[in-house]
Amino acid sequence: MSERILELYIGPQHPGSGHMRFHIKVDGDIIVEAQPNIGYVHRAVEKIAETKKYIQIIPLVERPSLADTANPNLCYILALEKLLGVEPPERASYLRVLLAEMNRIHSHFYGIGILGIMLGSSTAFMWGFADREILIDLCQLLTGARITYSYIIPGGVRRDMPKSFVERALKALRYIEKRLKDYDNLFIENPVTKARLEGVGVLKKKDAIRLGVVGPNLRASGVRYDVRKNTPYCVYDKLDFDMVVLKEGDSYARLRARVLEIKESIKIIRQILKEIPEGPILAENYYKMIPPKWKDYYSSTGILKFPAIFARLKPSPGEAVARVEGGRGEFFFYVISDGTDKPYRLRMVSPSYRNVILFSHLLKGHRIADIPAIYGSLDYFPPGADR
Amino acid sequence: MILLGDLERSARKAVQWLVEKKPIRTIRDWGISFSLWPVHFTTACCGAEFAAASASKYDAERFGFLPFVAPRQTNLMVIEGTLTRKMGEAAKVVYQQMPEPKYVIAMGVCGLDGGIFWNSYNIIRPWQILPVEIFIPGCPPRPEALARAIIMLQKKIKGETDAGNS
Amino acid sequence: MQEIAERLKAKGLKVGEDLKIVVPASKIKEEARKVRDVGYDHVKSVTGIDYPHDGVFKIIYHVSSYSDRQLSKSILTIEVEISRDNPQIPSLIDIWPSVKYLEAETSELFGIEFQGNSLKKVMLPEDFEGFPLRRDFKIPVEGIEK
Repeated sequence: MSERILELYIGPQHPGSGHMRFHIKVDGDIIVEAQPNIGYVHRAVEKIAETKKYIQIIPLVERPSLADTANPNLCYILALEKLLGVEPPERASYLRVLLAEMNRIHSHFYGIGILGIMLGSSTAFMWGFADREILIDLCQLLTGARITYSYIIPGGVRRDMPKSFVERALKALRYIEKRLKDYDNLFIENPVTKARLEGVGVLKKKDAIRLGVVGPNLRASGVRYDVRKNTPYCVYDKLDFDMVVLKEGDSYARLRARVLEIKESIKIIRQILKEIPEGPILAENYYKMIPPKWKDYYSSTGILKFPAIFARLKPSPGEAVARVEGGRGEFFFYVISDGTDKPYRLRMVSPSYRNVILFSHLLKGHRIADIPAIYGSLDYFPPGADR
Repeated sequence: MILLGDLERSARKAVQWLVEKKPIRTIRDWGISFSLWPVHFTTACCGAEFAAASASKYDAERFGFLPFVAPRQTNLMVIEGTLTRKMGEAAKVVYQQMPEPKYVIAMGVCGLDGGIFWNSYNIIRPWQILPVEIFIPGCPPRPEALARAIIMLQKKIKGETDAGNS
Repeated sequence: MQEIAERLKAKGLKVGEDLKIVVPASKIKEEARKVRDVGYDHVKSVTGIDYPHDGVFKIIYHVSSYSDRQLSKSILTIEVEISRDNPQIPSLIDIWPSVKYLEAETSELFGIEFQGNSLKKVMLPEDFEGFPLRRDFKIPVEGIEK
């Protein structure tokens, strides 16, 4: 019997595996056991963070999760602000949520595109990445960068909204809503997609709770949990949106959960653009430390130059915890400071690392051709898991 | 050589001399430079911009750049981002499987000297294990920068390096 | 937070308003069972901290709940202290299965042995020597070191 079982490696050089390796044991075409082998992108963010100052860690925590970078940035700054004892003004909180929601939409388009190319539909890949570019252009108008923004700083945000932003954003959102109907016709209601994804990789509700899964994978299995509704941060308690919960738990439900979340994010962005108040974008006790020449520069262009205190921020000794709902799930940051200008310990748990445990649980009993379908539907990002 | 009698060896040497002569060599270099197919091997976070450069807005396929699945039928390797030790061993094995002539492009500042992760305990520099032809700075570089790197490599293959700007 | 602390005290756990429990390493499993019976059903993170001056490692578990509405708004912290020369602690994997990869990462990068968790190698290559996240493993730093 054991002579029938073959051991295969689906390695890092494979279009369906990303930057990781699978060790699988197959009997004919059915998978008997599957183990992920991760660590191919382990760049040791936690160790490097002990040698850098607090403001230099902002680009460092963005790089592991490149598809949505505003959310780990926001989580780190929320933990740091608890230690510093500073609160951002109202307009800055609205701008932070605006960037986080735009980032969520283009991260979900990335996920849909990668699922499309893994199933073989290169049209879905091209469409997903093309519609993602529209939102990246909007984010570039707001912050000045394509993907890695470093926009959220302790005490507020880095730049103000330009005057032409509201009109261009509303035009882009109308276009995206019309496009989502085309996605339904081509990819989501397609009988080939349904045949490949329905009933594949079913995650039951009690397994999802027991294994500690996060993100749309959890909500597609029937668990009502979203950090934005449970413990609201920034201004989420003033905005009106629904939590997307489905009950089937298979790969098709996970794909549909992502598309429905895009629609909810469009609702949130429209409310923000209507209700955003006027005011400053940096906390008062940091703003008064900026020299007068740069204050005039800020009033004419809306771009802030940092005050000199950011180069030697020393929070009071203690520890702080923060959590934020990103595109792929929940981020968790735990910062310990000892009174110097570098942290004593920074702990970062990304959503992809908490989803790794699903591979050996879900792949058992399926065929080899189901591996890309399950992998793409989980929206697993290997640099995020390895950090 | 022909007088010494070994017909196959001398025929081989004659063909090699002929291919390096001007008209055939120009056609051969033109063919290689417009069909640079990279192997499907994402190494780290710059892979997102590599995928964006192959998608519809910054279409890289107009230069003949088509990501392909098997290393035996490709001739370019793009190292996107940081190369860790585990991934470096895999990169070396994949590079040895590609047929000649083959080229390597290192994308991002992590290929130059480590970038923002320069003091990590788990990374290596790609130019220590592979012969890199073109380096692209940026973190991550814009897709237009990757398109420019492909054009620079094409000029280098065709032998038209103009001094200064290219 | 006050009501949650009252609920936990009713089960026999010593906890204050900040929802933090300090437990000795020999009693970690029974205290974790009491915490699970209150309603906390998954672990969010396992952190290891190195204090070379005091000669101890501290391991901090952050747990929370998905199924209970009141408990899901809070995070409970469990703190354990073990000695640096012989770092061993029983694993909590049969109480909370979600802790498998989190404990494996801490064990590999610090050199702590979690007895009962079969997963040993996650991130580092096979021939790596040393335990990187300990304070005496130095990496290059900019500028002049004091």
